[in-house]
Amino acid sequence: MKIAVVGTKKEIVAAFCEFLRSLGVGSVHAVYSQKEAQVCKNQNHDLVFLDIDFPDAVKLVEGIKNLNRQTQVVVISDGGQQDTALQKMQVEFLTRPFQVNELRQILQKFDKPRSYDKVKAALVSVVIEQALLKLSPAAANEVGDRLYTKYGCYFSDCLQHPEYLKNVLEEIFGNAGAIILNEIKQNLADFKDQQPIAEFLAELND
Amino acid sequence: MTKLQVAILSSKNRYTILLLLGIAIIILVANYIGKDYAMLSTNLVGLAITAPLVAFSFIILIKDGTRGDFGKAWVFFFLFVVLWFIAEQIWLVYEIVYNVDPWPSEADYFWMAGFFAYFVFCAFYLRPFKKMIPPSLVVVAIGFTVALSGAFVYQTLSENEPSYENLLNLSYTVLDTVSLGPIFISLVLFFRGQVSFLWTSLFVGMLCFVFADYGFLFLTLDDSYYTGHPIDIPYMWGYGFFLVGVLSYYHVFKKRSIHTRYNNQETLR
Repeated sequence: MKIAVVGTKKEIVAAFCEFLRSLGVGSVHAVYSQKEAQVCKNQNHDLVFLDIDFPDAVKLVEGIKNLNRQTQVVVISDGGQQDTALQKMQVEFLTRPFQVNELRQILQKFDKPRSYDKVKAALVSVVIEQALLKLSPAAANEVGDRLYTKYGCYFSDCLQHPEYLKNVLEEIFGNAGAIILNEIKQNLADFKDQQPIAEFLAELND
Repeated sequence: MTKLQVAILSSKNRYTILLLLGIAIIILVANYIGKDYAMLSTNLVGLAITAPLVAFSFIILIKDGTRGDFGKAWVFFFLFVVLWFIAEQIWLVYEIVYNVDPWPSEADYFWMAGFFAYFVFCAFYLRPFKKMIPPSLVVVAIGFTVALSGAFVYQTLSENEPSYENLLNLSYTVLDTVSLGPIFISLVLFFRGQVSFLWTSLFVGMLCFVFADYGFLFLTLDDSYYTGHPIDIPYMWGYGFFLVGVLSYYHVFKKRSIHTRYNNQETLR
C-alpha cells in the first residue's frame, strides 16, 4: 500500500509516518510543503492522510481526486464542524486525538486485495508495450518517457488513466496514434467484459 | 487555410522550405555563371546533403535495431541511401576526377539496386497503416503504375532502338513509375490528416526523383542533359526531403537523458 502524509508540522508528519511504518505499511511518503504536494498529486497513492490545517487543503483534495479517482483521502481534523466542501468530496475524517485502533480500521478498510487488479494492470502494460514495440523500440521508449515525465505514470497506470495514453500518442503520432490504440483494443478484446479493462477500452473508444 | 498550407507553414516545415529554396538558388545561380560551375556546385550540394543523410540513417538504424516495422523499414532505408550515396560518388568521381561522361556507368547498378531496397522500405513503413489504407486505393495505385509503365515501355521500344542506354533509361522510368504506388498511398494518408507532412517527406523525396528522372529521360534523348542542369533541382530536393524525414524521425524519437528528458514536441506532428 502506498500512503502519503501531508501536513505542515514536520515533526508530527515524520512521527506519523514512522508510526504507519511500524504498523506494517510498506511505502510512506511525507509531504510538508505545497510544492511537494503538487508533485505528490501525480504519484497515484492508495491513501493520503491530510492535515486539515494544510494550506489549500480543499484544492489539494480536488486535485488528487481529479487525477486518480481511486486514491482515498483521510482528513485529520480537531473535531468540531467539518468542512462542508470536503464532506462533499467523499473523504474520510479522523478526529484528533485518535486511537491506534481507529487508524488500523482505516488502513484495513482501504487496503483491499489488489493482486487481481495488479494482474490486469500488468496485462495492460504488456499489451501497450507490445503494440508500441511493433512499431519500434524507439516509439515504446518515447511514449513511456513522456508518460512518466508528464504524468508521473507508467504503462500499468494507463489502466486507471487511459486519457494519459491517448494524449501522449496523439502528441507523438497525431491521428496515426489510432493505429496503436486499435492494436491495443484488439489484443485486449478477450477481456472486454472484465472491469476495469472494459472501462479502459470504453475510454479508448471515446 | 488549407491543411497543406498549415503543414507548410509550421515551424519545422519552414526549415524544409529554406533548404529547398537554398538548393534551387545555388543551382540556378551556378547555371547563370556557367556550366562548369553548375556541374561542380551540384555535385558538392549532393555530397553535402547525402553525407549527413547516410550518417543519420545509420544512427537511427543503430538506435532502433531491426525490431518492429519501423526498425525493419530503417534497415532497408539505410541500405537504399548507402547504395544511392555510392552511386552519387561514382558519378562525381567520373565527372570531376576523370572528366568522363558518367552516363552510363557502374553508378547505375547502385541506383537500380537502391530502388529495390526502397520498395522494401516502403512496405515496412506503410505496414502499420495497412488498416487505414482501403483496398480500393491499393488497386488504383497498382493499376495506375502498371498502366503507366506499360505505356512507357511500349512508347520507348516502338520509337527507339533497343540500345543499352535506351533500355537503361527505360528501366529507370519503369522503376520510377512503380515508386509512384507507395507515394500515391502516402499522399492520400497525408491529405486525409492521418499522418504528418514530415512522415510523408520520405515519399515526397522519391516523388521528386521520379519527376527528375522523367526530365532526365527527355533531356538525354536529345543529348541536352549536363550535371547541374536545372532538372537536377528536383534530384537534390529529393535528397533534401529524405534528410528532413530522417532528421524529423531522429528528433522525435531521440534517446533521452536527464538533460533532454522532455521538450515541447507538439509542433513536430
